Amino acid sequence: MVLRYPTRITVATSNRVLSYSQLARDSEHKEIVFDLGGTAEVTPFGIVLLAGTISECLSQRKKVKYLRPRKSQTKNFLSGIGFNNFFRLPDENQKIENSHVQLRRLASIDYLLTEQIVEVFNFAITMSEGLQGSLTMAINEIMTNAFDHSDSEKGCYVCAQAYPNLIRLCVADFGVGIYAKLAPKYSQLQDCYGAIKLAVKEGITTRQSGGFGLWHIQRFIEVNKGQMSILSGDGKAVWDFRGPRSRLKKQTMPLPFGGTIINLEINVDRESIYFLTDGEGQIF
Amino acid sequence: MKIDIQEVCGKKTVTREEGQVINQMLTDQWDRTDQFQLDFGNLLIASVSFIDEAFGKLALCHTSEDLKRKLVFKNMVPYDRKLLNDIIISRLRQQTLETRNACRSALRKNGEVSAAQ
Repeated sequence: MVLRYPTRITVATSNRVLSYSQLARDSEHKEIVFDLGGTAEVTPFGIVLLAGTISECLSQRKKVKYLRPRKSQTKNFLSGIGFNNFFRLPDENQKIENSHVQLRRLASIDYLLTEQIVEVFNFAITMSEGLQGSLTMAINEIMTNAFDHSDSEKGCYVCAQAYPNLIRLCVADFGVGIYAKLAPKYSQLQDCYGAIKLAVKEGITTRQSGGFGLWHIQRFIEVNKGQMSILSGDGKAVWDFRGPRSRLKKQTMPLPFGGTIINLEINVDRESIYFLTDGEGQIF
Repeated sequence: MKIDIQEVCGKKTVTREEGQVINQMLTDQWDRTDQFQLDFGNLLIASVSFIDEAFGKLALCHTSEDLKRKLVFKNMVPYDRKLLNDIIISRLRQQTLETRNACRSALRKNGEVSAAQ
């Protein structure tokens, strides 16, 4: 089975690449070819999805072939972000870039990784203290959510990259998905998109009193004028605060994806303290 | 009672499970202690999960006056202090008779376990 990846592997092409991911995992073919020959752009979203899908196929004892991008810039990018190293592929050109946080698979929350991501980005770009704190919070919460909600023993995949005015951060797990976790407690849920929207509401959780993590991340992204995408099952929700009017885009994907992906696009030139308004008072 | 967060938690200040360690200490001693002095040693926590589990959950059980009287947060970085306030106020808004009763029955259950031990 040959999967020919598109020119761009980003959230914008998620329908196709998530379908490929599911096809590769569900396929009964013994050999899967991941053909990135024509690929020119891969974001952290694409990196974690590819890495997770290939790992899943390998764990199913499928034979995996990987065709590198023909474009040298893309080949070097994948090398620099640690994709080749992750799969121990021969790599004559591996150079770690400052603006990357290497692709990682986590079996449990890594206390040092958050610090490392913030430090690496702080070295590459100038961040205000507020943004550093908010970024730390967002990374911690996304990882905590991934372990809380996935029910996956395989952990989660994390990748991040800093651009001149933007940080892209993506965390993916290949677990049961948000709908499966919330449906037993919230019987009114009808679909995966509804489950994603519910998971982002204040106080919603599968635990007795959790549910602040995604809600806080959404508030941070709103103040930051960034973008948050959550993909789980056949649901995709994109909170886009970049324009003058905020938008929530709903999409139903043609082939459900087993797992959850959270992708953040964070502006680096904004102060992002996003807490209470003055009128609400302070207790401590 | 003084609680040094770094001494108790080390670097384990991210997850709900880790927050529970502090919550348990506070809950166990709540009725027997006039004031808890929580020293963060200027450590940046920035974890909603940890802060909510350790302190936010208390706001489902106690009034803001009780919390102010009993809890003193020392050497907390401004970011975490804002996060703490945000979480506590959100949880206070969620407090209902139901949550208060749930806290009481949990406390009674804990008391029975302690007595049995």
